[in-house]
Amino acid sequence: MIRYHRGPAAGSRPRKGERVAKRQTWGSKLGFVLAASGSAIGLGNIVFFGANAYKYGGGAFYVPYLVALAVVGIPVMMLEFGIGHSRQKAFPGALRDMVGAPGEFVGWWALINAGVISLYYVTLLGWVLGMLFGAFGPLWTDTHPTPNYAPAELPNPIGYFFDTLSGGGALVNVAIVWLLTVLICSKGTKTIEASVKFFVPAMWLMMIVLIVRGLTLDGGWDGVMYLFNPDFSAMGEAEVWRGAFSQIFFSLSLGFGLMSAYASYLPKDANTNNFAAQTSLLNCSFEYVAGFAIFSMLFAFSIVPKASTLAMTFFVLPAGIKELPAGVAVFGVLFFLLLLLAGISSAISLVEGVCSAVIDKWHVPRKLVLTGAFVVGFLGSMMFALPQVIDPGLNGDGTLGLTLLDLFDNKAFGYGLLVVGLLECVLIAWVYGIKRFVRERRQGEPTLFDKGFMVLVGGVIPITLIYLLYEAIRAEVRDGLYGRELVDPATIGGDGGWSWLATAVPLIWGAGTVGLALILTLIKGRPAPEGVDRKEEALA
Amino acid sequence: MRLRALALSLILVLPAAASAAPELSMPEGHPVEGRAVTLRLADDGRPAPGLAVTAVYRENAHAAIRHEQAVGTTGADGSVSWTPESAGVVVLQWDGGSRNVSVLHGKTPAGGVLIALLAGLALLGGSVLFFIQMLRQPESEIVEETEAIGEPPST
Repeated sequence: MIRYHRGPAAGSRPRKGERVAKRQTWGSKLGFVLAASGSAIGLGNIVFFGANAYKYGGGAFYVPYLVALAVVGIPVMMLEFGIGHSRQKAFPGALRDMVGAPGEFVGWWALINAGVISLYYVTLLGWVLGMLFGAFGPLWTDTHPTPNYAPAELPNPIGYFFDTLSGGGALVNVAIVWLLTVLICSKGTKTIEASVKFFVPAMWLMMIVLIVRGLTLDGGWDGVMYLFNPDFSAMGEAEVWRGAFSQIFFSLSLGFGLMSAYASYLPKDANTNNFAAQTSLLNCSFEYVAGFAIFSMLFAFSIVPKASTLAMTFFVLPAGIKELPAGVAVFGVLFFLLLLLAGISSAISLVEGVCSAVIDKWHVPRKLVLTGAFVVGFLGSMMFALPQVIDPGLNGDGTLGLTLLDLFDNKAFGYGLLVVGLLECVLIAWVYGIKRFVRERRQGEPTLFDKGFMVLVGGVIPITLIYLLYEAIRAEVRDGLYGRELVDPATIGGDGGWSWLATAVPLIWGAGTVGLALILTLIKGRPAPEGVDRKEEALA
Repeated sequence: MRLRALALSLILVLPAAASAAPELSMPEGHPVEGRAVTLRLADDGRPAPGLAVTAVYRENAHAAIRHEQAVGTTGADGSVSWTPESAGVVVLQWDGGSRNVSVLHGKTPAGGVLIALLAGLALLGGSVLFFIQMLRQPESEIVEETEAIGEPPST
């Protein structure tokens, strides 16, 4: 039996004057793996991967996808696990211990991005909850009255979705999801572990039911072959490879620093490299099997896939479920419940990542941090759930909240994660020293595997991420700022009262997140109160 | 997660709503790739001759993958013969309307089966292996003690 001693891990260098207390740990390895994979598996895994594969050549997409998983996905996951585990601290604290204040700044910036994402992610989950309620009946009628949109009645599921979006009920749903999320985080690893032990197996079970239903439809198996049958015509296109690398980065939730928080609760002798590979493979396996459920249904009902999470989640797949010969409500409820569980298991990691960093630095009671998270989170999410209709013709995004969500998502998700991924690789590889990092983790000379890891983190991954960022910026320079059409009066009508949003959102996001990260870095931390167990303190 | 404007998806989800007369009819069941099928276009029950029909394969996919097939023009009886080039959800378009049709594979595609198996083996197989390895190792025994390190804060 291996005996783990709680306390500082190998390589940890407590600063002068710092007291290190016991840290709560996961109750079991299974609990950790389920929590980490639950964090990685979210709404995007269920619908986005298959649609992306369809767009880029079906089975042929698996070639760049698996390459990206091996070259970027698993190594960055190992890095993030290693950072948190080696210092037994959340992302900012661990990076500060390793590379000083610049590291802490990057850590806070990553978590603030995660915080921004959690605001609109929970809003999305609020809409999922609304659709779940609708799946018991009203979602499946032919049309739904939409007094705020033109025409006044739209076919379902579109009608129900936009009616939900433009009503006050969306705010109640958002509050419910926030409440659930903070309750699950209330006792740290204890309650998170207990919930993911139910959520994650339930998600797999529900997915299996949907697969069986899909494959037993007329043409279901042909739908699966439609997804996997390779078309290599586009393999030479840079866009396809870019799509695969972005898919892996976003799908594994890298660049948030959340995995560092989860890994910081592991016993110090745990093999985080194995856990990183296991988490990555579980995440990608879920995407893989989701393709069976989704494409069998889309094919059976002749629905063209679309590479958009939102459209696939709220319109395309419900339209397929609506066509089922029997059990529409049952499978509809199952589908939205699956999305809700997958989303909440990701949302709790977003909240836990931020909370653990605050607790690490200022030793504030967890209850207080979570109360703050609920208030700030709910108010922030309200911004994205704003029901004010700014585009009654649905040429853009419909409500103000949805438009803001779209604009913030493009910056926080499209740029934030890639920049953090790049900075963490550069800081560890070039400032802290990748050899030093590996030696500390390995407790010995680097193996061939470690040497490969060093080359990837020190060179290949930063170059890849710089290229992805360059292409994203180039596209905005070439085609204009993202989201202009969503607020352009020429597209959505009106007097152009909202056209400033497309320019303002990137500025608010950039200045706000950088400024806040700077403030959090500069505010002095508080030492742990003497004799107080971190676990007890956290649960106080 | 990438979110995009929704307007296009409204059209994609509801091809029937976007369609106007004339309407397309075809034999019961899904057509099969490589096998001819007769399409009929009718306007208020009357044959619609002289309409050009196009089949779009892999709509919404990358430009190098999406392709079109000129099916032909409807004859005096409003019919035109179509031999699907490949399987999948195909969008049939004509002047004034469109309809999605699922085309079955003529035979099970070996490439698709191979990739599904290999990807499944790599991803699910890898996950299972790591799980077995994890479960074989005994659960850690966490020792309840605190290691006193660092210096107390100077007062």
